[in-house]
Amino acid sequence: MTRAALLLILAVGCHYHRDTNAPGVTDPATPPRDPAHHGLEYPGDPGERMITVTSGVAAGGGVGGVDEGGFGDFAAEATVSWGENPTTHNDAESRLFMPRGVLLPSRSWGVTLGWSALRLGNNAADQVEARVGPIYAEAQRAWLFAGVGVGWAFDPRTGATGPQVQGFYTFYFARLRYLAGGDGGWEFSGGMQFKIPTTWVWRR
Amino acid sequence: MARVATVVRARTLSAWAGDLVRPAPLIAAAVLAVNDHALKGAGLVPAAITGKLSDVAGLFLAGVVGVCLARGAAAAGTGRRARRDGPLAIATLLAIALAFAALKLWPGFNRALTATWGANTLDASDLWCLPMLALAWVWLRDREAAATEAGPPRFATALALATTLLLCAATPAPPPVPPPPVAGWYAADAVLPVACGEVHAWFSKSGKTGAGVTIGVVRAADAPACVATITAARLRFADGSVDGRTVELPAATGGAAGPRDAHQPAYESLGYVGFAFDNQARWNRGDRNAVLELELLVAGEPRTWAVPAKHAMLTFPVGAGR
Repeated sequence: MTRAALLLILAVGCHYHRDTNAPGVTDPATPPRDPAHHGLEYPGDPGERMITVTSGVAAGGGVGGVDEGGFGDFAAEATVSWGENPTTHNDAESRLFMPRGVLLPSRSWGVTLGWSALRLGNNAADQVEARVGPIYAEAQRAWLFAGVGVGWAFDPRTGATGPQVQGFYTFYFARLRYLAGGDGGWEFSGGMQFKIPTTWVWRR
Repeated sequence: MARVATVVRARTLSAWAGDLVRPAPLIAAAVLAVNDHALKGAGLVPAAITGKLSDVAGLFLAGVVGVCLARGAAAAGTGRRARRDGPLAIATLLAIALAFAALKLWPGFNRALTATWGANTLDASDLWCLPMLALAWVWLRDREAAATEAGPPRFATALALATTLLLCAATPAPPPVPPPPVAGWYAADAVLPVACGEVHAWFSKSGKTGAGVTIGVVRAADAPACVATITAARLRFADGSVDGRTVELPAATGGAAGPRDAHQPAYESLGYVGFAFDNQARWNRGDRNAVLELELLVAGEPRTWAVPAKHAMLTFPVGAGR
């Protein structure tokens, strides 16, 4: 169990190549551009597909909902996405400001599960109180570092439930949700997220 | 009061970087820029000269820039002006010499720097340029003797500092990055000896929809002519075979082709045959072996030839250096 957990931690932030669909694009009916070159002509690039598991934490604050005076919010999130790149990435190339192991699709669809596990707000006596916040699930559309999500949230503490939308760009996110029932209502929050992708990639 | 004024003067940009606005470092910077970015590879000047010119100019410039930066750091830290030819300058020049020697002699250091900075040749003969650092020290000593309190304008100093730092950092273009590995067919060392020479065969195309094979004929020195044509071709797999279709090569390349590099022979004649099949499906189900069967007419004589072929992830360029 410990070994599995350790392997899981080590796998985060890396990408893994699969050999599926590995041949490139070529037309065997036409001769190579340089017939006298003794070697294989590099085929055309079919692009690549990938499955990415992005997990991490988000921290921020917001207003609305049951905490009218504002609240601090710490959430854990995991996203599984399926995406494509029109060109195959090259591990030999230097990618400025991007760690070598990190590989993100230029466009992707995904599903996010999150839980605002720790929410800090003031209680009736104006004292800071730690509570659990909503659990949510979203469908996500992303373009490299940016994306939007639409989904549903449920607050296990109050039983309130309702829709939410979220947008993110690199480390920043903003979220709007409406929880009906309990002491719900409109809730707007934002902050920073630190999510690390693990990607499995193969050619199209 | 006088002490405060000295500290302020020592810390001004002109006090520690003003030497860069002098003809000698400016000429060295110009030589470095022109040589690295215009002369190298242009064929105007022999490579032996362009190869050393950057080291000569670059070491002189690196020495002057290094001492300027060290003096700037010392002034910022202590508030005092260090001599251009004093212990700090000598230590800086020695550090540059050691780093340069490591770059030229130590493969690990060279690889690390090449990966992060740019291409740099591992060449012990470049060490003969090291005396340029001594020349830089002599020049700095002369500057120390001749320098006046009034330095060059701050803008000119800043411009010279920025330019020289940029030139020292901007090396010639890094080596080309190899493309990602890709799956392809290959036939290792496929050579058929014939009476008039040799027939070479190689996979020249491989992709999702099939593969293509080129044959090239190398004429023996004593043979008057040696021409081969493909009369039939098959790619035989464990579960069946695919017939090839010969394709006429363009007139410009279908005949004799001179050697492309020192390792590739001159071909008397060339031929191409394409095999159209679902190669992606074969790859995905693990078909990694086949036999390339060729029926040839070599100098009027029919020959059959079976060549084992493999399907594998290939790192490019494949076939280079044969």
